[in-house]
Amino acid sequence: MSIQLRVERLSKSFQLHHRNGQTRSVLEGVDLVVKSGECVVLKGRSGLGKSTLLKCAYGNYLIDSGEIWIDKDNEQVGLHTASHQQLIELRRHTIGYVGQFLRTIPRTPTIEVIAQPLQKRGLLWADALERSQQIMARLNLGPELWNLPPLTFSGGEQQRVNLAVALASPYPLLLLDEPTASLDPNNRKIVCQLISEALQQDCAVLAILHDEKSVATLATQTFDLTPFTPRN
Amino acid sequence: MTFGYQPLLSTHKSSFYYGNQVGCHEISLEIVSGQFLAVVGESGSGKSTLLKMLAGEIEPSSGQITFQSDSYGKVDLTQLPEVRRRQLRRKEIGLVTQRPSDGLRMHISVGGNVAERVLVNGVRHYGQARELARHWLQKLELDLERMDELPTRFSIGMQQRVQIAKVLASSPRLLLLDEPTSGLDVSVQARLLDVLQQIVREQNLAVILVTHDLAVARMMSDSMVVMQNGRVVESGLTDQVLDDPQHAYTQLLTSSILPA
Amino acid sequence: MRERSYNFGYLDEATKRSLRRAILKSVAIPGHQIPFGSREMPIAFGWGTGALQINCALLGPTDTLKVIDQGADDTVNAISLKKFLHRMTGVRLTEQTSQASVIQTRHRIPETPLRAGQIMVYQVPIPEPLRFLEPREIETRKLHAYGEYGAMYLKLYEDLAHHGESKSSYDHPVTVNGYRLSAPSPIPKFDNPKLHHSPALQLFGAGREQRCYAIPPYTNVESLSFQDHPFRVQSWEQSCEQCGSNNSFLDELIVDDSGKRRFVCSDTDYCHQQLSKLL
Repeated sequence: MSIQLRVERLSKSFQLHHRNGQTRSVLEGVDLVVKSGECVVLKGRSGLGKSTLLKCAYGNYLIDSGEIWIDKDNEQVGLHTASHQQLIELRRHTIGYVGQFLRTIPRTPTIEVIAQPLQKRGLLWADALERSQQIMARLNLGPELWNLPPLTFSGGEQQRVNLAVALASPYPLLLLDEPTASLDPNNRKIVCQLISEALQQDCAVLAILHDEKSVATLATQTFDLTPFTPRN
Repeated sequence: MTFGYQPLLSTHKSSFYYGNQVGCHEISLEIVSGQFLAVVGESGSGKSTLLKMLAGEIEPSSGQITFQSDSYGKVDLTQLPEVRRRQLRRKEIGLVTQRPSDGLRMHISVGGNVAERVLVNGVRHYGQARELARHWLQKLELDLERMDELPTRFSIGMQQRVQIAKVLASSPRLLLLDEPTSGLDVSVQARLLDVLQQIVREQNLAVILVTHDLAVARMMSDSMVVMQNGRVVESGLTDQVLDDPQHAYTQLLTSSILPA
Repeated sequence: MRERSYNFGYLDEATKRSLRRAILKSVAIPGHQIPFGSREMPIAFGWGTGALQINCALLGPTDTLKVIDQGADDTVNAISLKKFLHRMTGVRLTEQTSQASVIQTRHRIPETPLRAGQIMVYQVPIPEPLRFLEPREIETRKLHAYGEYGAMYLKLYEDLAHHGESKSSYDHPVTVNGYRLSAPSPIPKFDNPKLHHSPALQLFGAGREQRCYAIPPYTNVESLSFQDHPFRVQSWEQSCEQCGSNNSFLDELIVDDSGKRRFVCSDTDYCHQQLSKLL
């Protein structure tokens, strides 16, 4: 399996129609490549647009201009021109995103929250539940939590649920927004271990990371976003 | 990673006018099996009109609606003879109305309502019909002990489950839901949506859900279409439309959600 | 004696002609409901005006008429209708099934087998078998047009679910000529088999609903049933207390305040025939 994320001349701005049509430019002309087995860590001060770039790569934000290519094995899909169905399919099988918020249907138990995307990727429900249990065990989410809905959990626990979804059967391309932010040192170590394992399986990782230890362990290269942001 | 989808349902510039008044204007959209599409808008946006058109309840004033049918192949619903359209609505396309009393026979037992859906599709075996009714009522978490009671003896939330069970009993390919949870208590709504999501996943159904509730849309749907004054003003993946709205109206809608 | 101040058969000639056309049409399309211009009759709608009008159009001076109500010749309704028709046509009256050329009936088919050349005219309150399900006429017409009869089985389903057996002991729906769904009028299930391949012409009239339909002689008539619950007729442990018959439809009569019951044949003519055989 080989995968590559290619961002070419990406520009993104927000137009706020109800604030007198004000436009806020966030990113200009970003060029970036993330290859199989690589972990690229985005750098730049807070509020710059690092999260925005990740969201563009997930299709959560639209881009104004430029191109985003997903090269998997021998095929290329342009996110910027993909149909809704293509995007849904990509998110199902190829791109995993770990953001800063956890959004689930209020009463679904954690074990099912993690198993559902696995089922959508083709696993039988029983197998999906088993894999869900395995990843939760590794992330120190004990059995007492499995049948509880995750919205009742602490910030750190919710973050680990988010990560479990992405890492249970690692997506070829992982987009991680502060995956270790709310975790204690022990859990940070476990998460880094899981990301390393994913990289060894030829996954590509684009991440925002602030804790230096994790950056040192995981980063193949760092990418400073500052040059691609508007001068104010 | 090849994408070779046949759309299950697609519309091309479909419009409906109430005389001179726009019901919906030149709507083009597509849905594939396994996709959950939300149609969002406020009252009068034309979303219910759109759904009725897709369900074949009203005839478009112009435009085409193409459906990939198991029984008839690829058909234009606007050109299809009425007898076949009725057949599709009994089997492959399921419509769940906003008020359960509009979609159920209130003087027939709950089990009978569900059984009817298979009886009209050729089943002539009482045991088989009853067993299917039991299966779907159970799937919708309804008490089987009560399956011979009339719908009027159930709460609205449960009546809505009966309606959904009934529509699913014919194993449809496409599910159309018109504000299925408006008027239900929040907790009842949550339970119903839970169950619905699970079934949709299992059956790989295509679903079009009309709602004014953005939270429900976010929770349930993959992609979304925003309607205003009978027109589609924005469409895209649900999270994209809600997190990065482009159109002025969408921005207004999303900024009006009260945070939980 | 026929009353001369009225037109023969009470109705005017134009009405009789239009009614005969409707009847012909209904014979040509077995089981299918044909609309007709139902007239105001001297009895109220709901008391047999449909069948009455059919008879007014059909009866001729050489006919012999029998009128029964629940199998009996001597109930108030049967006698009123009989008297009216006699006054309007002067036809001979009889209580013997075998002697009649035309028999008007409400709720029963006589036990005595009918023969070719006889006409049965049934009083029908609701001609539309799907009416219990669908109040809209425009929709029931479509259901018939497209042969969408699956929902009729819903009635059987409900009966089985609630009573463990088909409760439609009356007006059990039938399929006529292999295709058309019909309501056989509120005759008991027991009588449904008599509809099948009868040598007689069977006409059905609903005055208030303004519909008539027909089953021509020797037509296939099948009662609706599920594959796993075949159609069954009623049976009694008892036999008739008057004539001893154990294969006729029995009425259950409560004879005193302590609830004592008697079972007797509902078909009075048949009962008399059996009795006279015994004597």
